[in-house]
Amino acid sequence: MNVIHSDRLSLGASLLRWWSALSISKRVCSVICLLYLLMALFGPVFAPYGADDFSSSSLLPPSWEHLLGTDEMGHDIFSMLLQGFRLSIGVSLLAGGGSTLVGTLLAFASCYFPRVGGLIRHLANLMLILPEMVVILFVAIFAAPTMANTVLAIVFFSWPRVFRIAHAKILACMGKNKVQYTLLLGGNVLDVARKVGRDLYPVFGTLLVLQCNRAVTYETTLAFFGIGDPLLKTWGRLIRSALNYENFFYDTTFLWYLLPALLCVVGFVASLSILIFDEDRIKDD
Amino acid sequence: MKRGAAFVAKYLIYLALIVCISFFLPRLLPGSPLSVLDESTVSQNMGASSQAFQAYYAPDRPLPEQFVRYLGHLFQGDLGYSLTAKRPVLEMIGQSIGWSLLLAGLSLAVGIPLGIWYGIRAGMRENRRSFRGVALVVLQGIPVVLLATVAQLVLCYQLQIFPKRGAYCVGMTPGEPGYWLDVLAHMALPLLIMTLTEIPSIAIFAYNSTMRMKGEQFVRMANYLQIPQKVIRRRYILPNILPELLGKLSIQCITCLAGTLFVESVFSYPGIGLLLRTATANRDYTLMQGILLVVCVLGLVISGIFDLLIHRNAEKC
Amino acid sequence: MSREMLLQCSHLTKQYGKVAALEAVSLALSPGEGLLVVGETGSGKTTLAKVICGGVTPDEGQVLLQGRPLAPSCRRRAFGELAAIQYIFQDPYSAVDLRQTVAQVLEEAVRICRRHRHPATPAQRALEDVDPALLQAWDRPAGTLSGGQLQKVCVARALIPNPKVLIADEATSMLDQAGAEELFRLLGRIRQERGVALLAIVHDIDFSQTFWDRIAVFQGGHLVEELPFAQFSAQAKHPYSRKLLESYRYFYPQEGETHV
Repeated sequence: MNVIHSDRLSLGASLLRWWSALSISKRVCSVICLLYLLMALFGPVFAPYGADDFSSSSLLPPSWEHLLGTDEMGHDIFSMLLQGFRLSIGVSLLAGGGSTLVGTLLAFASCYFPRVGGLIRHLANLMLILPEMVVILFVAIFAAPTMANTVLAIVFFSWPRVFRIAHAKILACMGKNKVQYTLLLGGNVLDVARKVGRDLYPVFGTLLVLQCNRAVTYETTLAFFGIGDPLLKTWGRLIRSALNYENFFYDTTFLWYLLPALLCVVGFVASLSILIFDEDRIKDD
Repeated sequence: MKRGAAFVAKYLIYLALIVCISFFLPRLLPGSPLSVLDESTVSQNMGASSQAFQAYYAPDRPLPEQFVRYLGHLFQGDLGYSLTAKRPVLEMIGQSIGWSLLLAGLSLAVGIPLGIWYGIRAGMRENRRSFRGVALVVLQGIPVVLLATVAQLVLCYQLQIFPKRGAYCVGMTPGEPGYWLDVLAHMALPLLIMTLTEIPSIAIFAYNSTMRMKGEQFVRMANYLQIPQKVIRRRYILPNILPELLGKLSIQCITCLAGTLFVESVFSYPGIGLLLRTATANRDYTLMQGILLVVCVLGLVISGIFDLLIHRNAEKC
Repeated sequence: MSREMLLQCSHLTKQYGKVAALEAVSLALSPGEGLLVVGETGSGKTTLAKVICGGVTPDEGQVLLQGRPLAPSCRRRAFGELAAIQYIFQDPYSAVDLRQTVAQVLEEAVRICRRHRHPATPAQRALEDVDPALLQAWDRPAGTLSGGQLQKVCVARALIPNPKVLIADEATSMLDQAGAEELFRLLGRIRQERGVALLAIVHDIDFSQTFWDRIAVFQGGHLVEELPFAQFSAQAKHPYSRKLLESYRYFYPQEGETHV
């Protein structure tokens, strides 16, 4: 059932209404996500050392000088963690946003142009059959190890998931009488897109969060396999470095080397998941 | 019969596309040693790459000829030689695939029924909170590699409950007494992790479907007539959510396949996942390509099987 | 003769799977004519309307506008052809974006017409023509209007492109009796004032409304009877037509007749 607003709400009023409809756990998660974003923007400013600075002694345990100790090369782990906020969240937003955009645009195009749409749908079906993580790994190995390639690889292989959901929703929306009216009057792509968008923007928002969530998983897994730019220390890279340390399993270094980055990843993923978690109808992909 | 032919045709086309992707992707990626777009890298790598690489890929030959050679290789079952292990890729994969299928198969055999049972049961209860959807959603979101790493660190090394790595203790052979017990012991933790990552997705789906079914008239009627819950579960709800469930399971099995590879990488389990770790660590292109091909074909087979099941199920109704 | 015909449907056939929605239906509409299309659910009336508008592509046959054949799909028709035939939906609440204001709903039609440089009635004029009282709702969200009011807005919207044909597909089914009568009176007035041809699809006929020119009866996808409206009660031969007449007389017995 359509919720009929009594007047067009401003952005601020819409946000307030959205906030008041949230449950407590979701509000907590929104705050956490906001904190993550703020850390991504401003965190590295507070880093006591440069992320590339390896002048300290190696493998120092946590102290006031090095809040999380140092790694084998002498980098300050805390600074690297702060840098990781910007990098990991940046990748997440870029890759998640990119794949959502591509998937949505392709879904709309295939609904509006049914013949081309058939081809795209078959392609998407095929790509959904392939285990995307493996294909992304494959691509990432062959390509030059840059961050851009990582992001592109993730976008290129995760759009089919967005496509499938968006296509179904857009098709249903285009069958509605109000959109049929626009088509019958010779409305162009933009007219139809505007009408569909007004109805479906919550869906697209959810898809965006879902994809950002997935992108973090992909990036972490890629980094785990040692793929990606070795100089850009995302959380995944940090975790990989921790695992590379030869005594990793046998002493307590993991507590300050592995755990912080791990908790950052898990915290981010968990908050995003809970944020889009719908108690009445749990979304499955 | 026509539908059978269309079905086979569809999957043959998919197979052809997979082969094409496997061929063209490395050649289109920037920075790839086989890149046809980036002339400089190619000439750089030409000098550096080994004899085996040259012999298999022949990067200096024109593209159509490379493609024909590739197809020829595939038909002969030649997936090239691993650049690191210096053994035929097909042989390496052949030895490993058994372990992977064992792990994946067992985890699905355990995870799917558990997930369905849990989801339906929770869906039929009045209390929504008992489903613990939040915990499941979070569990579903955590990357498998992290979960496996932490489990290995804590349970294998720090607490020493489970064996640390591999499928069996070094030195044991299949004939020896206690071999299978050893295998089970080594499989326990990987299996546990795999199952833990599968259950949330299936349970959530079953839960959603059950909630939807609950509102249907005929289920309400059954409740009104006081038919026991167990019967409702089995006779009313399960058969009706089956079509959608099969579609979901198809995707789930493929995700499970990828998950198996990652868990094996972490635990050094001698399945394809371990090969994957070797390939990525050493940039072993032939091995990587072989793994991709095999995994994609497996995905295709799984999808095909489920497609058939869905059709069979639809015809029965 | 065909030059006089505004709209001509020739052997339209459409099948949905095994169901024949339309079977070789041929129908004509003269300029300014009022045609009533009657039939039970599933008899093909809505499919006919959609085929005429180009929303549904027929399997066979074609639609001609002033002697020129129209493309089967609305996506391929010229704007002038699309504007000439306007469709009014059964459910006004689904035909409109309820969150938009009445002004925005109408402005959409004006905007599209202007883009194609097609002469359009200004939005306020169109609404005024339909019902001046509705001008008060100009800035209100469409969802706050009643069914009858919203349907009138839809009629106004349909008038903006200056159409030659108006197709009202069960436009009164969702309205109450008073609202339905009011809407039919409105459509009749528009027909007179603007000379628009009207094709109204209905479930039940109100024989007291005498401004219809012809009546066409549909059953099972076939056009079974087509007669001038005034002579329908006298000359209707098809069993379904007779049933319609009987049920009308049952509910509204004429003077001097006893009901069955």
